Amino acid sequence: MISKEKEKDLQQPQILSIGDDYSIIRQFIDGDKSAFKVLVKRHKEKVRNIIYMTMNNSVLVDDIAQEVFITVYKNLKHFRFESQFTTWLYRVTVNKCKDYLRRINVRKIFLPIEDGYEVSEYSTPVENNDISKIVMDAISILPVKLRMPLILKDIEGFSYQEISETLKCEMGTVKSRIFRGREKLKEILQPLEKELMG
Amino acid sequence: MRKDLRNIELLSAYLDDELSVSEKAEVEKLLATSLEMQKKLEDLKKVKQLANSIERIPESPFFETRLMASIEGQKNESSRIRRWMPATALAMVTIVVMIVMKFNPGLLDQMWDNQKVAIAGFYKENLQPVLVAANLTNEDVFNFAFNNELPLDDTRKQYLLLGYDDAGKEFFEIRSSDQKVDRGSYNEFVSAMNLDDQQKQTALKLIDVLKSKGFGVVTKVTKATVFWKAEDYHQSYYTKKSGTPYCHIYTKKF
Repeated sequence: MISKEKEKDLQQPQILSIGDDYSIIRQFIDGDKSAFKVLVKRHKEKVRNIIYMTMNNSVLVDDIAQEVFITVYKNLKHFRFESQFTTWLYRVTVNKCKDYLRRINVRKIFLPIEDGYEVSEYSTPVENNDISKIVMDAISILPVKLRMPLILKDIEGFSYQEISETLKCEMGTVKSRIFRGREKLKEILQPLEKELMG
Repeated sequence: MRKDLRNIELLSAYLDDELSVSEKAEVEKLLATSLEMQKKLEDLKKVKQLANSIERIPESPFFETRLMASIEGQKNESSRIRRWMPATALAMVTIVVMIVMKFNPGLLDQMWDNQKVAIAGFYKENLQPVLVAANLTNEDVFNFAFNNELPLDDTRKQYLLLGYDDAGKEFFEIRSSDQKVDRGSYNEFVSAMNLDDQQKQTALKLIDVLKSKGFGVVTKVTKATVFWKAEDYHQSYYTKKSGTPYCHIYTKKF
């Protein structure tokens, strides 16, 4: 069992390292199921934020995050310690988000607009004074393949290398998509340039 | 145009500090000479700042408690399913067998007969030619299978006996045919093998009666298999033809 002091220590984000995650995972594999709770505490907020930014919907965040961690829990014993735990964790997160977005899009086809779930869209930004909300709505309009790298880079602060591993695509593709995402975002926010960009 | 696009793309990566030394030098050279590139860089910076200014979702203090409860719930559910799986599978198999037997009652007998035919066919095609080539009769094979005796020459004056002695040790010996004890014939075995005790008693009784009356018995009595009823147009043949039955003439024997 992990002592309370150690548990508290491991939760501090500033001391996160591959080694810490690895030792917790080893404890989990050795049968200490409480180690998983520590792992969740350390990474849940990052996971929840990626989901929140991608889905632009706070209601779905905890449901998707729960699915992410359940998937991780079921497969953690097969973790091969060849890459960072977070790379795998964020890849699962991104894939779950993509699954949900796909489901929402399919549902939209079959349901009347008023009954179906709708991702909030960039409809009346001029009346909305909340810059954060406006930008988030604008990001949610971006195609998923541009949205994901942009969120991971500009909001979560990943390196190009980490994004490339998380999204399983080439570094050159990541570079190009981040640039195109920014260009597209600028284009969407153009009508509000004065208010937003000064 | 293409070069401009590459330069702006480089500018975006420059902003993220993700360029090689040579690329970085190239971009800085461009920035020093081009106002347009400086403007582009400023725009990209603003977009990045805006994206970065998005408010994070508030923390969820009970997230891991709910998550662990959900994981526990799933574990209990799956263990409950696993516990009932063998019984459910057995019940399903029983139901399927019952349904099959209901609609096809002769299936097992049919399968049994097919199996017998297949074994007989296998024997005929593979083993029988070898036995015939070795000049072994059915009687020899029967005696070998049940009595461990095998004839050694064509005249059958000597035969090989295999067996175990009292200490359980395997032995074989060559005996002359005058020492051989007759333990029963193959033909008798074949004629009796498909009969149960009651059928065998009845058949033997009838055979004895017929023999005592001086008749030779050639009909073999075997176990009944599936009865295939003829089509309707075959039924009541003599009634339909209005003729005299020529194969059902009664002959008094008993």
